[in-house]
Amino acid sequence: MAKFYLILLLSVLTLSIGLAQCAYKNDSREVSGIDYDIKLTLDTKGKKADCIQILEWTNKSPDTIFELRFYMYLNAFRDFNSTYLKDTGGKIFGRDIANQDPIEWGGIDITTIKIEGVDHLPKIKYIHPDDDNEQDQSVMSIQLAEPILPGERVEIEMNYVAKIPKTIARVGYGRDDYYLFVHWTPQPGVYEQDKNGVWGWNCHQFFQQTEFYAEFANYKVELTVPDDLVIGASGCKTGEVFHKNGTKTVSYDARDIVDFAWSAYPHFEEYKDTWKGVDITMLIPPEHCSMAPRYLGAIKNALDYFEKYLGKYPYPAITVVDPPMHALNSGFMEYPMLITCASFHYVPSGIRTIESLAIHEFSHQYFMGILASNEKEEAWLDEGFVTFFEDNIVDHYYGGPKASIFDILGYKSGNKEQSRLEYTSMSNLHDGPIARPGWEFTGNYKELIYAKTGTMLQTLRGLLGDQKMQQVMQHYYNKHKFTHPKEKDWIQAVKDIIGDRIKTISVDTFFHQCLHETSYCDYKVSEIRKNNPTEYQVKLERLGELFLPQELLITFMDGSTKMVEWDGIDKEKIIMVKSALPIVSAEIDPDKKIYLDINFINNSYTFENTQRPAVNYGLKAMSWVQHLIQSATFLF
Amino acid sequence: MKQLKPMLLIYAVLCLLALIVGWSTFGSLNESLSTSMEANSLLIGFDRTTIFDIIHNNKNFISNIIGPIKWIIFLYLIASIFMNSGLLVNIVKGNNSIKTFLQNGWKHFLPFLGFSLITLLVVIVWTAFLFVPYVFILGNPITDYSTELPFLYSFFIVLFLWIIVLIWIFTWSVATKVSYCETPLFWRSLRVGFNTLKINIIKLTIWGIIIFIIHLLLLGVNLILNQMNSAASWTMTILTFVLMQVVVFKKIGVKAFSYSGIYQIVKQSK
Repeated sequence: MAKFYLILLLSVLTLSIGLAQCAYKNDSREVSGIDYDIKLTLDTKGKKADCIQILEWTNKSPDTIFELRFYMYLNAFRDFNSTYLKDTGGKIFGRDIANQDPIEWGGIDITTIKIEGVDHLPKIKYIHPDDDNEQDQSVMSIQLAEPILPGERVEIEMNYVAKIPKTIARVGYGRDDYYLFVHWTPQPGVYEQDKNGVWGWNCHQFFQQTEFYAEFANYKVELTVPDDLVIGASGCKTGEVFHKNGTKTVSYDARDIVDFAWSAYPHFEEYKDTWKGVDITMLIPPEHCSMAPRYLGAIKNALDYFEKYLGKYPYPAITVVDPPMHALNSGFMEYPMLITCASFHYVPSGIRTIESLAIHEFSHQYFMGILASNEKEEAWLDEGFVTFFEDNIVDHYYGGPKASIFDILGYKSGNKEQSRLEYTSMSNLHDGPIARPGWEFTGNYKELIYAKTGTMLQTLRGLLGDQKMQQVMQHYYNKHKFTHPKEKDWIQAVKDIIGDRIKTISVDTFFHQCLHETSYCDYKVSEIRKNNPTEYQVKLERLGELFLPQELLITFMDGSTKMVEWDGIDKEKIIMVKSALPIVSAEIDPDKKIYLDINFINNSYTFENTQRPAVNYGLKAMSWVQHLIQSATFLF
Repeated sequence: MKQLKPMLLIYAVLCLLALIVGWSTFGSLNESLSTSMEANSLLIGFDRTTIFDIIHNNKNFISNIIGPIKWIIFLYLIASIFMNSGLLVNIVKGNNSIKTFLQNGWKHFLPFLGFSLITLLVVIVWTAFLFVPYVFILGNPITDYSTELPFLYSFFIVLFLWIIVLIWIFTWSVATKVSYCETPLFWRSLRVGFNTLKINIIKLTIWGIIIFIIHLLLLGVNLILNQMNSAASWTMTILTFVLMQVVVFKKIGVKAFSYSGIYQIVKQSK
């Protein structure tokens, strides 16, 4: 019966094809200055694409520009000399690439490049601004024949061959003509002011630990591909023309985005739906089709939450690509208006990794897509914020804060608590600060950039309260959407709403401790002592270096309570309590607002504890061991 | 329930060994939570934050629990050979007293240990024989197939094969022991056991599958009880524990039941 309903639901979703019409409302754009016009012809045998690209680029700086810099990401997969691959030892993401066929490598070969009609091919050189690897070709520099004046717009015409690798990380091709084309174009870096206000190129090399950073642009793309390929892409489909030679040309219009991504696979099944005018397309291989309703629910929940909490989704469409198993490495990633997820033939409904991943990647539409911070230098500004929203959305719509990510056979976990535990399970909590460029990380990237930042934002939410936190987020979003906000912009947005202080601590100190220091937060109620019949002392300790304002809840014998505030600065603090009633417990941060605290167990001290949980778990452990040894010895 | 008394003795041994882990778990949790209000979070069931905060801040928590399990399994393996000997011989000889159970266990311990070691060896060889080529032939389940379905389906087929042959090994082992009870000749018994399996393969396979399904059902019941369990009240804690113990005891009963069934099939085939 369940299967019947599933088929019915999928049929309804599929029937809605044609009802949905992805389109921009008018000709307006949020940003202007860069326009791509790309014509791509896919060569399925060579696993490459012949591209003709006309790029109109505007100098928005006050500088006269003598050099253009381009990202050439696909060159990271050209050979083992690239900065991306040089230290892999031939293995990356579980794949042995040491002995792969020539066709399995990637790269971009530019055949012509004209700027304002002048040939610049001889002026190309590859630079390595971040390391001393002269072999790396992930950043291309072009010395201009004629400088570009402030406000001037130039036309850059390129012909190139984009050879995509067999799926290594994100981009690539897979079996049976599966393709994910991302970051395949020579893409200009961002010409912007640095921390000191000096204008220059921000165009870093491609490292394994870094993602992307690009300028907003508008794209018109024509993809000529075999006509059996089912395609999904950033933007709106504006046309589809079938040719007699077994190919088709599909056209797309995409605006105000930082990259154009597309995926194709003949076996994709396409499911469509809409949510308040936003087209949702899901491209899913047949063996994963039972996941379509789960993806759809997750995307709608995310759209709903963001609209209420932050702002309406500004794009007309979102495409979810679920790669087949053999191209799993191309999943788990975000691109403007297109996300790649991951699922399997069957995933129990109590395990909500499908939903949490889809919500995570969708959240990047806001943090990376709209608030296009520098993922290379300040990855926490997108991944950390996305983790915060993922945690909130999943906990809100699926099973609550204690059972949202999994709830199976009596074992449960919330998404938010999963993030906190990911951070607190670090073997060395002093491993390094959050705020540093991705290439400086040697480990604990996810734990710090995603989990600790997400947990820091939950702590900020706890200290400010839900309403103020939402105001801060909305202000940050509205002030900086379609720009490249940096740490200082975020902190200023916080200050704009709440002033310079969060209770007893300055906003600057809060963020400095959390982002630039390696300190951790751990408070303890170590003792309750009776000095005389009417006086008690409660001893508090700060075990970690990080200090935050704290609340202490004291509960008396008759159930009455007293809340005491503490700035949390001293390493030790004695709170004197005058009361004729005996104290039964004292608890620091009773509402768990300081979610960064690495140990909630020592946050309280009580004289009225029950041994029931310990007895219960002892008995459960006993029963499970009996089962285990019975099963292990049954045959003998 | 003719073998109730021996079964109770087996259960007592099982409890005694498992109590070591249970007590260790209780001790570790009690030590961590003795003055913490976070104990309350475990009253209504599993709380991941509390459990993991304990694990992260008490590095010995897991090793205190897992550590003893390894040698408990080994100890019970030895003890179970003794107890299974007593139980099986009791069934074959029509006895049901503790005294005969202990006597038979002692008397047959060494040859039954030998049969068990041979069984263990055969299980290892069969597992390696099946899974090593499977893993080789399978290759990389992620990159070598268009979908995960071939991997999933082939895995289930291999798993089914593995279980069926385990059922044969088990019934062969029991039939061997039954033969030894009647004629205490070691190698002859192995041969007779094999011939018995060959002659009664369909009946023994069906019987083995029934026993396996009963095992799965009992495991399912235990999982449900585990899900229902909470420390909300002493009544709830004790009730679910008692029910879980009923399942544990039922599993001992299944073992006696499986012996009895195989013995009947062997007897009928003569």
